[in-house]
Amino acid sequence: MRVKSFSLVLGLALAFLFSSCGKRSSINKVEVTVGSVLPLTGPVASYGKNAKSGVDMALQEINSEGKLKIHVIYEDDAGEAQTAVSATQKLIYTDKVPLIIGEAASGLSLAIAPVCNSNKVVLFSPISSAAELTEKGGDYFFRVCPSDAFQARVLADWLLSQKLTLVSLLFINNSWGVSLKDEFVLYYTKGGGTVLSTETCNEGDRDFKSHLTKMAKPKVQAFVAFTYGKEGGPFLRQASELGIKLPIYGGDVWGSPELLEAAGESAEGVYFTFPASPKSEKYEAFAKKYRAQYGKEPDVYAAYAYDLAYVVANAFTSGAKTGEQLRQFLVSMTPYEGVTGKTQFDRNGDVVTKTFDRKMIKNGKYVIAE
Amino acid sequence: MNYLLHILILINIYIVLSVSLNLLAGYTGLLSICQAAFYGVGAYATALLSLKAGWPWLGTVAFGIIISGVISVGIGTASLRFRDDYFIIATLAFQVLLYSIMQNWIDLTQGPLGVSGIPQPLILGWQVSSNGGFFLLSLFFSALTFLFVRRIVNAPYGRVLQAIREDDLFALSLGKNVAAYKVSAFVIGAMLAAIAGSVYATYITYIDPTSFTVNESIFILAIVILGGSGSVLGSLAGAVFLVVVPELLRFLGMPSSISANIRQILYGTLLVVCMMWRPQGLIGKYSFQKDGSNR
Amino acid sequence: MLSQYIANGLQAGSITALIGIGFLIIYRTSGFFHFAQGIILTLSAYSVFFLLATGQLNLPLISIIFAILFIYGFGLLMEASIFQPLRGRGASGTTLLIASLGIYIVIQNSISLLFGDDTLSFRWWSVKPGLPLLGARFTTPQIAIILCSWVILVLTWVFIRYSKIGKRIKAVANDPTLARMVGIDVERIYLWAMGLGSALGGIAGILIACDTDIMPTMGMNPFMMGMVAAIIGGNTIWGTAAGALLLGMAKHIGIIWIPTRWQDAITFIILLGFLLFRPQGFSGKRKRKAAV
Repeated sequence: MRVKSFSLVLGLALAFLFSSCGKRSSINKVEVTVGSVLPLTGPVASYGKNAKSGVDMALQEINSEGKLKIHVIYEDDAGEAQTAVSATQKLIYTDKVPLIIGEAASGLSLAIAPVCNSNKVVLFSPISSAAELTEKGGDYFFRVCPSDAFQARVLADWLLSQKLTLVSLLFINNSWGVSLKDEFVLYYTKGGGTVLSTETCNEGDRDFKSHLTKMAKPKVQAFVAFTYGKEGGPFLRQASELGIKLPIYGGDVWGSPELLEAAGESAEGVYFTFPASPKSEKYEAFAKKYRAQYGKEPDVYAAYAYDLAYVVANAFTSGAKTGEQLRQFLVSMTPYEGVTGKTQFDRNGDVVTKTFDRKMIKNGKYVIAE
Repeated sequence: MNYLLHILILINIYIVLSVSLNLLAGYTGLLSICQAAFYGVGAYATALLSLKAGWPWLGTVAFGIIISGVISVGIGTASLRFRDDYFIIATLAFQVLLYSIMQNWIDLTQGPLGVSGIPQPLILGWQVSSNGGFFLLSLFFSALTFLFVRRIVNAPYGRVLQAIREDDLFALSLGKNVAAYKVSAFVIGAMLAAIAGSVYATYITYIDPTSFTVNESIFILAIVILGGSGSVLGSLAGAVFLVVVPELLRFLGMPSSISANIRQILYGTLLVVCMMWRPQGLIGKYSFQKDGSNR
Repeated sequence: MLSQYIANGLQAGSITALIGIGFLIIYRTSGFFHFAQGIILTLSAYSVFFLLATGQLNLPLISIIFAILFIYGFGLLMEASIFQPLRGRGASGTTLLIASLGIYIVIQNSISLLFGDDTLSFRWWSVKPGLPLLGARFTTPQIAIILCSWVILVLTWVFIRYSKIGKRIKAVANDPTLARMVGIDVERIYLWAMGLGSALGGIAGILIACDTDIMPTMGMNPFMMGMVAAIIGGNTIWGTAAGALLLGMAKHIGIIWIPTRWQDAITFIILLGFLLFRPQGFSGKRKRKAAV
């Protein structure tokens, strides 16, 4: 009797043991969960959604390949800092993720970076480009998109090479706008340029007549405007209406379709810097698949996010599981060849292998500027 | 569990805010839409002093209270000659101006970039860092506010305030220094709101001006009105109601793209409905009626 | 360049005057701060957008007229279904203000739900440089705003002063009880006032949209400026116009010396200045509410 019941219990216990690790050992598949905080609704939703589309497409491929299954818990912050922080806290404390994909707006990356750093959770951004994130992002912040410090330099060099040494500047009063402006003014004035007037605007502003009037100082040769597409549109339109015929230069955000939609024909002839378009076969294949799946052209952030997802997958495949281990991997990894070219990070988490192109809008299309 | 604590912490913060405004609007009849500005003053005081100057949290709370008090004395004194609509407009003007300062005086507040990495409080050896800890902290202050205000409104002080609400000229004729009472209610309300700001800043660890706009002031006013003007318990009920119900919507599976709008439509509708059929709010005692009748 | 600043200021002042008058008529007649006026501006602009851009009605002028009629009707609806019953229950100005605020919140968020938060446009003309005049460029929308605002303002003034309804509106504005005793149908006049105020706000909203497109929160700032203009103008029509011009000019000329980001604060600093030193405004009499 006793032997029988004992072996029954033993048998049951062994059965439990095997079934619980059976999932792993039989299929040999590692399942991991990461978090994501992105603006999926609200004023900058297009960025969040595009990034998500890139991640999703990559994960479909990765998860079906067999060895690794990555599950992402997406949180929407609607573009608001408090919501982003609350979402981050939930992901870290409740879901216990070792890595978070996010944020979009640089200001929000700054907002959630302290929480991630103090909890040793990697924060990996596909979009945040403000220069101050290099330092203030902390040890656990990484980004696939190049810092604005590069962008500012490219833009300053461009203007100086066109002999445009007197400009007026407009910038949007947030993290991205301020840091881009600071970097730009630094390089531009070092190279001999002069900024005649500096004006600020807020997100969502639609009346720029005052700003334009102030910027149109007597000897000014060009306007530089660091705003999003939705402010850029009215800005360009009103510049036309006020009869301003100067060349206008913008930041990378003007390369997103928003600007063309908002400005219409007034966007013709506008210049801007933009993360270098990958021209490789890999990118073409990616773009083709993206078009088929989503019915539209991928924007650069979708491409960055796609590469980001693959880098994350590589980190997990190498055996890293905790935030600390993931961070160690990212800091020391060899360059990853993706659809946006090479990706490698320095010790600040900045990507060091990406550059910016000079582009313009011609005949309603985005082309490389001559 | 952590999520539940998060909701409770927010409720506690809003209890402090709504009780502080109720003292002013519900008991004294001074409808103000600048409470969010004082909320912001407390938050920025804590954020800037603890981050940049290394002050201990309680010290920043004290400073926030004092600054709020000083500013509100100025605003209160300037506004006390207005009544009803004009008073509301005067407070609106101050709200917009204080917000503008938060947004545009970049050297001080860092403007729209906000202040991030606000340290968590270390109180007498207790490092508050978990949601449980913050719950206890916020509960302490909401209980303190609730009991304090309830105490003073049941005392003669509170009775004078209510008399002023009903008919301030009459109160004046009875020899009460109406101006002093009005300003004092305004100042106490402002100081309490600053405390809420200090708790908020250290809990969320990041603040920017968008939390302290006119919309926020209107929201706090809505809590007071819907919960019940002239009743401290009403503000408690209002805070619970207006914080919890939108969160419930989230669980109904409503996509977050519309839940924010739905939440606002909800409380906008409630305001109209409340004015139509129950102007004194859920548990209130005062209903802003023309003939002074309190239904 | 100064002339361009003046042109910008003139535009701002003109549209503010129009908005202010609409607000004023409702405030003086019905006796409360009608915050929902802010959303009336927005709603009428979205109506034009809806009629035009969704192909319901492809003629711009007809769409605009329809939109104005719609907003007029909407104002009547608000008055009849919400404010009238509230008054019947003894509501004070404060109660009506709160209800009006509630209406604003509901409608603004409904618009966000239906149309999204992005900026939309019903522009049907192409962008071209404005008319050069005295060293400034008057953009086409600017000219439209300035002309329409003043024409409508004068028409409104004539209506209020000389027509039968206008005189009754003035009577009710002065003293509703007395007006009732003289046999004026006060409730009907409330409807007239709300309808007229809403129509004026609606026209203003459409004009603004022609210049800077539409988004759900577009109405609040212009409305607040209009309200401030009415207050500092002393609650009379021409006072409001003067106040509006002051605000518009101050805002657009002031930025010659101060950074543009402080622009919005100028309006409220001026308001506070008036409240502190001359609460009755330019032309008003001392009001009970402005003094104890």
